[in-house]
Amino acid sequence: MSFLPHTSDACHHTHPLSQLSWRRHARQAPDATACWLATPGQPLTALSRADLMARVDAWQQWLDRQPASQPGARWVLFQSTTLGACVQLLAVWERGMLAVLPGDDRPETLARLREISAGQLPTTTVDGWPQQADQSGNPPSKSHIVPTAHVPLAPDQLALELCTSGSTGEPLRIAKRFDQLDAELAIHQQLWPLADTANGQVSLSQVSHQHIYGLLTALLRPLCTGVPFLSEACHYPEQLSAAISQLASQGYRCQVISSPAQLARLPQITTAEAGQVLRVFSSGAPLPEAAARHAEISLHAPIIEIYGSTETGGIAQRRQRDGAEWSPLPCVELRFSDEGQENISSQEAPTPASSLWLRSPFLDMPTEWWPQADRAEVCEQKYQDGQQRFRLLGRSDRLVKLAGKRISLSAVERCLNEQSDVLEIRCLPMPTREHRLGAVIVMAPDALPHDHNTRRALIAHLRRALMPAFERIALPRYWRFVTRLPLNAQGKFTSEAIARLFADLDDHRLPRWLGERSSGPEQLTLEAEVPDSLIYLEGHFAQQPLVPGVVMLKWARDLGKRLHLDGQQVDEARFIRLERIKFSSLLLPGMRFTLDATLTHDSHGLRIDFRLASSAGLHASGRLRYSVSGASPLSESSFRQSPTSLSSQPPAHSQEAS
Amino acid sequence: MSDTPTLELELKQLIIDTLELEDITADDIVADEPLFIDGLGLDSIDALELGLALQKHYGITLDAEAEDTRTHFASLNALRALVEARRER
Repeated sequence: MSFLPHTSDACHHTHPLSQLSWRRHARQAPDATACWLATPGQPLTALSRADLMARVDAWQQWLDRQPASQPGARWVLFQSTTLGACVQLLAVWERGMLAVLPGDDRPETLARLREISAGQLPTTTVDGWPQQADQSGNPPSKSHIVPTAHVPLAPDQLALELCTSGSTGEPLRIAKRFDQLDAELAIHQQLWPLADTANGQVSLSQVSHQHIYGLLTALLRPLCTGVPFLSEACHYPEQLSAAISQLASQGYRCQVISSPAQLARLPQITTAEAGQVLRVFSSGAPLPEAAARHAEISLHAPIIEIYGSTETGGIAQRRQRDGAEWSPLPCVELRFSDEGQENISSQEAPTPASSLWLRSPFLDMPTEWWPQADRAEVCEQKYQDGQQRFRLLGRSDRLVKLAGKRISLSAVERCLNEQSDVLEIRCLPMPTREHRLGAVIVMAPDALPHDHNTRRALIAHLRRALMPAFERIALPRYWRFVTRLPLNAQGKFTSEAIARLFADLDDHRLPRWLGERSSGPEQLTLEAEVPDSLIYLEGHFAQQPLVPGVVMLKWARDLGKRLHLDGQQVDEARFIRLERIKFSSLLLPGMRFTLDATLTHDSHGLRIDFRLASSAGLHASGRLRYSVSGASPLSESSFRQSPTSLSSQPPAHSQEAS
Repeated sequence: MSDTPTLELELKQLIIDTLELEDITADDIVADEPLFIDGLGLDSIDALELGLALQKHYGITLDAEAEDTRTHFASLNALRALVEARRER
């Protein structure tokens, strides 16, 4: 099955990049505002189109002075401001060269890219000029600027290369021709028109222009439409709100380019008044439904999500107010199939969850089917517009998107695996925590951290090992150190096991589960840690928080309830008393311990013997006594030691008593 | 008498709880060490979360006009100064 492309006049109202749209706009109205310059603590100031072109000319002069500047040469372009990236990109293009846009500015990334390029473009001044060698701070005078012949660019010429992470973790460079970029910009203009009219519109961004989404929506669209853009991204909501309100006071409506990380963390207050924001884009990952709802209220505008990738550009869009399903962009053909590429055309009804394939003019090879590493499901429902829609079901490879950045789990694992004492590792996106990774690390028993300080030192060591090669967001936040991976009978690391390993994050009454072993149905040994966030820790801010004895008894009881002896289990209602309870030493937050429980039957009934110990020695031991079924649970002794005493009366600590 | 030591502990706990730093206790946060660069190794998502928590707990609405507001997040001391100056509850 396939989604037929829409036929439309997609190029209406927008000028292609290959026709040097920015020069055309500058000729038509040189004094119109091209860019609003942001200065911390100051109101925004306007740069005209002529001002912008003067900077582009100055950068061309800079390029002309470089021996490495040859037609077709690659320049590494990393700028923190949208304005800086804009003027350099246009200069590189007008000189017939191409830009390589790294996704981050870590020294390793830049060094690797410099090797395959003519060099790296230097940082611009805050207002977009080349830094002056004479430090005078004055922009070059107009007489120095050699007029440039503005020759249209060939549509099939390479415009730039974007950098992303492949599934093995190897960095990939994805080249884009002008025709690919122009095709997508035309579709954006068709779906979400921007107009350079008297009652103006302006583009505000919260994301980096170094990635495809920010580049297209926040930088190239303003250049094609003549709509002004803000000189730098408003990363935080208060910056966004201030910019919107100032621009609104000048009669502008804003198109906001944002991300799920930011939209999901908007404050509870109003970020923009009604009418100030035209629309908001979000891309990089699906936006949680509740966040989409709140963002529409806080920004008083539709939140439009774009689904896509560096390789494919945009694929589909949705507004969650209208439903969770995605609609393919016009010109994007989709197929849902797990068959190989050759067999696609013979595919009949798709299976509920299949791989997503697409064909679009935004692709390097527009007539070939491209396998997208996402699972998808076609919606059966028919929609009014006749389009079919689909649901996304997550990636089919080992890449995850964290705060819009593509992170290879394999690469994180490989790096951690090189550390001494790490035997095996699984790195995973946290099921209940957006943008966070967890790591499950297998170590030899004597290498395991045994208390707060050793655990913290080990985590710091592992994070430091990752820092040179990964962006901060890729560093796992939650760590579980185990002696073996909790695999199921089929050898799979299941979502149940993952949920157990991280259950203490959501339930602060639980010990941190790190595995268990059993010699039979009547015996269990739990491996666990005392989380620092355990709610039972006495004295939140006290010098020495510790696990109360009653909590150790509760954990022993909870473990004991899972034991079986000849088909019998203990019955909570038949608890009689505690016997031979000893608290031998303090159990402190961060300590790793084992809790052993055995169910036996003797002449008095069922009993659970338990022992809680750590590398520091024994912490607690004793018995929980239960009457056998049939006997009255309300015996004389159960009045003295009712089950509730387990949670209400902590037994005295032996240390405290002595 | 100043309530600074109490506020300091309160803020440490706010950071730990908000950002779910499971291997960090209040004692591990040094008042004048950077929170974001080395120190706790926080990232841009944490900066957003922390801004939300300040609004929720202290009624502080960060104001972009004032200056680069996130410099208040440089260290615990800077954060404490912000809360002392701007808290509404």
